[in-house]
Amino acid sequence: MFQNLGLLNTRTAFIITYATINLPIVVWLMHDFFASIPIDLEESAQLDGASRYRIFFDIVLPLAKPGIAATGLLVLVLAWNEYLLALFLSGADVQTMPLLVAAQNATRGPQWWYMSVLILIMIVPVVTVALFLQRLIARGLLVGSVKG
Amino acid sequence: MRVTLDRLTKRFGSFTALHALSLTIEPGEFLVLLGPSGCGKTTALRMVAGLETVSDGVIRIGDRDVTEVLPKYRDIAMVFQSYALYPHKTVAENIGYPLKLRRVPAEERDRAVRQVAEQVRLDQLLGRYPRQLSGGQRQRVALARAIVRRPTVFLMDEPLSNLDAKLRVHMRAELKHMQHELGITTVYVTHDQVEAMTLAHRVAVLNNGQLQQLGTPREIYGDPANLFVAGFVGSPPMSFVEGSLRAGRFMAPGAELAIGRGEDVPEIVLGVRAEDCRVVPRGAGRVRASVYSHELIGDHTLVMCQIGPDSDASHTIAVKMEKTFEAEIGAEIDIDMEPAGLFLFDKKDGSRVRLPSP
Repeated sequence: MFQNLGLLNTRTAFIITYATINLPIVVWLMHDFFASIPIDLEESAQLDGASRYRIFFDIVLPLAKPGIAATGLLVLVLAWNEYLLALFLSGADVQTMPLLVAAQNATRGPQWWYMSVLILIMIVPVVTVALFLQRLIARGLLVGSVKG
Repeated sequence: MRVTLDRLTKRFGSFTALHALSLTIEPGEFLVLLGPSGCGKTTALRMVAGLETVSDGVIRIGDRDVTEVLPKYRDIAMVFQSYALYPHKTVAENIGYPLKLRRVPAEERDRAVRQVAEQVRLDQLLGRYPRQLSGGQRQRVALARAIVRRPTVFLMDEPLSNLDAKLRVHMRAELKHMQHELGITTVYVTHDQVEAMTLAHRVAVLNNGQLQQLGTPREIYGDPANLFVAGFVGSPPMSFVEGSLRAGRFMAPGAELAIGRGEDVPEIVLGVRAEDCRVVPRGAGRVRASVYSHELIGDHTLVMCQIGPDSDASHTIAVKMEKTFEAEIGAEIDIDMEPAGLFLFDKKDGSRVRLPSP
């Protein structure tokens, strides 16, 4: 299909594919996070005079932050490490890190030193993002809002 | 503002949670909906708030029909049992949120928040988050958030049930005082009959979705409409003895009391409150009994007396005696009852049986 659309060997193809593949996981995980926010808070906001949009942006979204961060991180790792689909979709112009690392093995036999460097480079962005998001994944955000 | 409920009904599928509740809550009145869990009192409150759809009937606030109106347009404030504070907002932001939604300018909002915070003694805690507060403080934040915008009606859903006993007594007094100060019509839901008695101008007792009795706390306590109200209100609850009515006399094993004139009823229930009974030596009273147990409460002693041969709970009478009272368990005694404190109920449907006095 990407061939017909002329999207093969483009970044757009990767973006569309990974977004689609990971969407069910995101929906599934986020559903639980949103469900854990007490309905009392939303009802209280309704009585305080907030519209549905205000409730979502003022109350629900800030409280779902840890969930969004955790899910985002999980999906990032999944997409980052994905190999098989990347193999089908990639060409000379667009490569993902797993492909590059694997390719080192193929051409001139395993070149461990070069591969190690690549793997290190591959790990750094994810770890950075994880460290950054970790502050958001603070537990106990809901403590004190409702009792019982 | 006057709140009128007209034949308000709520059905969940085939289950009817609330049967045609009709109530008029006068402006500035403190009305308590009292009943056991599952009696429909919270459902009724949520319908007034607009959080629950109405199956049948009409809700009016003032002269305005609000049956189908969204909660935000009803100008109602509600205090939830769980407080429902916004955990990511500070105390000041929590209290100010209703004003922010109404686009009240920041300065004016600050002033209002500070004033309300002082009223509920939270002014030192405005910068804190709900998780840094104790239960009583959180409760006060919820209260402050409700009063900051001067709503036309206050709704409270068991706001004190998550507090410890000591704090509850304190907050009860505070609530009553504040409602009196503000003069805002209030509907308060509770299953705690002590709260209902102490706070309310009028109490509506509900059971199984049906209004049992509506009246002042004094009426509810002193003149119960039926067996349910009599047994639900009061601590200890009213004692009941099953027996029959013959020639104006109540007959039960070990008991015979002249009640009044009237028809004979084969199955009747006699109710009497602990404070209308006295333990007297054998031969001096009208009901024969034995001491089952006695408990020193503090300012009085509660004596449980057993009438008749079997140990059925319906044949135990609670008697309130002074704190110096002492007796052996099993001692043979009599119980004297105040004639004005005797109530008769139909055993079948629980309705009050009123006899002309003898």
